[in-house]
Amino acid sequence: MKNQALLNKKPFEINYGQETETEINKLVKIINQTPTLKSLYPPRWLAIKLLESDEDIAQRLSAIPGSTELYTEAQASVESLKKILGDDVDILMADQRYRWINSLVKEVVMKPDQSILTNSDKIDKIVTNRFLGIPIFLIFMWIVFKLTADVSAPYLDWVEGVINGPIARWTTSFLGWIGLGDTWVVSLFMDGIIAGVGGVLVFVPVLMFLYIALAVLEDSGYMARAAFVMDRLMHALGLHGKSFLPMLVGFGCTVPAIYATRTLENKNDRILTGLLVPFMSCGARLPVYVLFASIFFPKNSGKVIFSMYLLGIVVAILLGVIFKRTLFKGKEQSAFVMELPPYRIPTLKGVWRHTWERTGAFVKKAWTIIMATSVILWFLMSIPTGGQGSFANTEIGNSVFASVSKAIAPAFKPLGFNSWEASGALVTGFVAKEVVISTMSQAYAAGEPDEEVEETPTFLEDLGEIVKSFAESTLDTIKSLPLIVGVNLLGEEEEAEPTALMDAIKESFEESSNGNGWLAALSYMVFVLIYTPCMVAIAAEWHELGAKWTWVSIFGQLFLAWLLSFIVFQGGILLGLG
Amino acid sequence: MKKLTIALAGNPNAGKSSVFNVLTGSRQHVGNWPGKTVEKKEGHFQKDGYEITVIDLPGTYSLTAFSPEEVIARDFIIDEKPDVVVIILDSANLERNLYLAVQVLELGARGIAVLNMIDIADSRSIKINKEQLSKLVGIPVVTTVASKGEGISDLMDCIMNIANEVTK
Amino acid sequence: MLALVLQELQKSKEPLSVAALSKKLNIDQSALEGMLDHWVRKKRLIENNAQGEMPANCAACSGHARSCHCSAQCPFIARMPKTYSIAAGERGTDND
Repeated sequence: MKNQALLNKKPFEINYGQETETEINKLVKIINQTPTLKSLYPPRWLAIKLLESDEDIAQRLSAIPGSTELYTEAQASVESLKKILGDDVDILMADQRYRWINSLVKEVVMKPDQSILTNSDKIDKIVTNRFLGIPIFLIFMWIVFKLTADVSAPYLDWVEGVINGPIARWTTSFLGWIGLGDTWVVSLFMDGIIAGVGGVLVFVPVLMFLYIALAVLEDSGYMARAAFVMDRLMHALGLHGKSFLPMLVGFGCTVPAIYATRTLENKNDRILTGLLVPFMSCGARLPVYVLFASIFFPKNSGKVIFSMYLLGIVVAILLGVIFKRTLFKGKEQSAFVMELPPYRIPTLKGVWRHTWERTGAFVKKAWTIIMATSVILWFLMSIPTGGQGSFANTEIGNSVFASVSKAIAPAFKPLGFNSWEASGALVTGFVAKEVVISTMSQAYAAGEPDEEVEETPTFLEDLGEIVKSFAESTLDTIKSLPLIVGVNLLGEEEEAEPTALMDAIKESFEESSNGNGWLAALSYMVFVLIYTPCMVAIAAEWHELGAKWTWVSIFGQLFLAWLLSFIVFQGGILLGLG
Repeated sequence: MKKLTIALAGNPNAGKSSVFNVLTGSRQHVGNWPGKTVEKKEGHFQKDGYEITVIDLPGTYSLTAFSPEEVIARDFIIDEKPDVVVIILDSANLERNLYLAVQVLELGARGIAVLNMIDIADSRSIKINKEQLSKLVGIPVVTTVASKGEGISDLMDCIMNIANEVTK
Repeated sequence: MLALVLQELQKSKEPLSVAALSKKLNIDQSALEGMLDHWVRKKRLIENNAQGEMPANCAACSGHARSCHCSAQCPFIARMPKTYSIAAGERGTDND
């Protein structure tokens, strides 16, 4: 036997200090005089539990005859100890246990010098540094968007090709085969569903790469540090320190972010954070940025997308500071402690799970909400106004949707985009930000004549082409990786061909802005960033913040969106940037 | 055959179920604590003429009345009076784990402290003087890496020692 | 020791990490976590991991996560670090 153990020769006891011990002994005495109690519980333990006001024990005692005296006596002891010691007895006893353990550990445990920093400590010293922390966070964000934009581009083209090529052809053939060719149903599928839902699904690769990058940052433990650094900034600005946690959730989706504000304890803080969370660019807004950035800023799309995210954060923080000084004056925020998880290498499985779940959510939304709005929109785009044309056989510019959009369009004239397509997309975009894309695809797609393919490829040829082009995209992606460090292997001539939709948008924006297309595009992106994220987010705000603040939020965002877009467009022209 | 009941107590993640599995092997029974939705694991093994029942108490940080798990754990120790309570401790986070150990011992239970996952503590250069710990707390202390089966025979010896004493 | 943890938090002007607090008070990190949890049980600290409960019928992604059994909750809620803050009424009497 290796252990020279004493095998419980003497009972284990912690000394709780003179005053407490006196009371314990008093109670032990009574317990020892009550045989029923003595046989049920170890006397000293029972006395300690009674002094700790243990609810479970109190309840059990009430069922034991002859325990009333003990209980009354214990209550008196608790009261008197509380007076003498100044806090709840259970806290003081727990404190004594911690002290006892602490001195025990000091005697038996030898630890390496705590002043020697572990690798984790060293990394934390840099990434949570008071001055470096925020720049490092921004650099990481920039890398994320650069990666997302560059790496996903070839896949984007691939999905685009698959949807508008084989899938469109198969759908047409199928409709023809069941006898619906040359009816309005073909238009519903082609100009409605494939243009709308397909237009959104094109961006699945973008979202996927964004979610991979975010999952890596989360799983490695860095995201927690980012939250800590940003929270420290918010706290220094007088905002609720923990607000940045919901905001990080907002990068994925605004709705759970609004619900996440529920964990802030103070009502004013909850409302204030709930009002700011929508300014975080959610996943649905990214496709809009990507589309416009690739049309108007093909060389700098990563930077432009990053600026949009940054602008959202800056707007949220600035508004927060203003509101805190005016509408939500409150007492100073208390500090808090954050448990930073240890750094670890992200696992493939973990990253894949996050990516899959989030991308799946995006795809699912395309099949439900976006599908429904695309169909409704197709009808609105097919019903003629002013007696010209007939259902599903009308110039789209004369449809109900175009007429309504044209009525609203002048409001956007000063912002540089007043085509009915762009304005209409902002209206339908209230439903969800993906709808901005699907509306544009539908509106612009219907305007162009259907391309007649001379020789329709067979099903097998189509399948072969899909696989081949996927392999090419992967190769392009691999080649594009060195771009991140500034080495271009792709070469100028290999840059992606603009699609018909991109050409149409470019033309339309150049026209509505008198040749200042890129300023108008920037202004459009800012508008999409700032105004109401989606219907579900409005419902969430209604639920969490109440009707009044929801209206404030909706109109506030609209006003701010208009104002900032105005500043971007008109300011840009004034500075002669156009 | 002489009977012996031992209970395993410990914080969540201290490696309680590894110890339980190595001790009992395949002779396990999983059910619920009476009237509770908390899982109860029970196992058996035989050694030196003893039929030994092992009860895996719910993993808790404390033995207050804060959660049903804590109440179950302490009720078992009070009501069933197991012959030995084996307290599984995460060696790398000893200070926090000892808080539960202290409360088990305050209940008057006959305890054995198991410094589990000692390899992790070693890798972090945390040295624990187990003789001194045993002397100061007044119970036997063994070191194990239960997931690899290391130190289990020491633990077994310790249990049998107490068994002989109890049934003397 | 328990009281010290609470006092340090009340005194602090800015957010702290558990590691920093552990160094400052010279308390082992695991023990400190235990003490923080102790205060949470006593309702003097509030534990917060930024996971507001989502309504069961959240329409934002049409309940994707539940329908494919990937996870029990909204996939966008990342596992965020735990924070502990002082419960209302425990912020000291002087700054009201």
